[in-house]
Amino acid sequence: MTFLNALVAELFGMFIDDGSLAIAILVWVGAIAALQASGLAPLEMSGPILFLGLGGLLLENVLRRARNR
Amino acid sequence: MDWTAAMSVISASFLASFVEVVEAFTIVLAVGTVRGWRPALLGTAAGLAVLFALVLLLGPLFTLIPLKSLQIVIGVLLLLFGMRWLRKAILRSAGIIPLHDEDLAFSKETGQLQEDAKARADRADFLAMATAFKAVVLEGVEVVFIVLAVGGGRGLIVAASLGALVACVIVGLIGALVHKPLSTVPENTLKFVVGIMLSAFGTFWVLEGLGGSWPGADFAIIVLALGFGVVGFLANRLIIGKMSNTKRVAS
Repeated sequence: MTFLNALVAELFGMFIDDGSLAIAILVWVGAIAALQASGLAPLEMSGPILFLGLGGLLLENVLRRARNR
Repeated sequence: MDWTAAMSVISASFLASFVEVVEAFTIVLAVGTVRGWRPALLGTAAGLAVLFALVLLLGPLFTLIPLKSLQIVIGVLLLLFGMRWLRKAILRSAGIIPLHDEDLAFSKETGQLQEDAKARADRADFLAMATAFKAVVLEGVEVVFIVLAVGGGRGLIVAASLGALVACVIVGLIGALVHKPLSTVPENTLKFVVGIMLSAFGTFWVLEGLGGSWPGADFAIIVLALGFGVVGFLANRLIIGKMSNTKRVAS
């Protein structure tokens, strides 16, 4: 059981370290999907918007973590 | 075969696997040093067999999933995985969280194995073998994910496996020669690079899965990697700058 618990923890920990960053990534991807579906933004802008949002989320997260240490 | 895609897949898989194999090697080395090489190698072989079985089992399943859905799922998982590595590497490089120390991991594992051997002498070899098996499987699961994720989105699982295999062979050879933890490997720099690459792959595939397309096709992966590299570098400089400002104000 200990090994299985460790395996499950490892699998979970592979993707989620800071829950707020993981949730923010999922929300941002969802927002881009909605934006694409709605046709509100030109299709060729979705990629740059996706990247800029992800970069911003990462930057905000590490700066917040550094501030709260 | 598209060589830009193949080479990025092979290098991402090689570098990511290298980091994980170095971590697994430290524990296998501790087992070999404390309890001898028979349980260490048996545990390693059993762990590798489980990992190969996982790739052989899950790899063909990927071909049954429609490409767009696969790209979204893999892309999101790669984003979560890659940005987690990148985040940790930024925080480690800025001194917010401690660096991973292979020497420390080795001495901890050695101490634990010696305690186990004293407490349960009758099962010491079995416990040592289980320790090696557990280390190989737990670290290897990440390698399996990377191989399937970076290779699966483009039908390049064989190329990704090759990158991982070469990493295993190189770490194995260096380890057999030096016979000590590979603590001089710049693990955090490698994690920084791998985090950048996996985040770039993830971003690329998420958009492709959503039906969008990138200007420059596969070349966009390199541009995205450069972009994440800039974000990582900027974050590092901003944190270090803020920390030195705080120190100056405090003094």
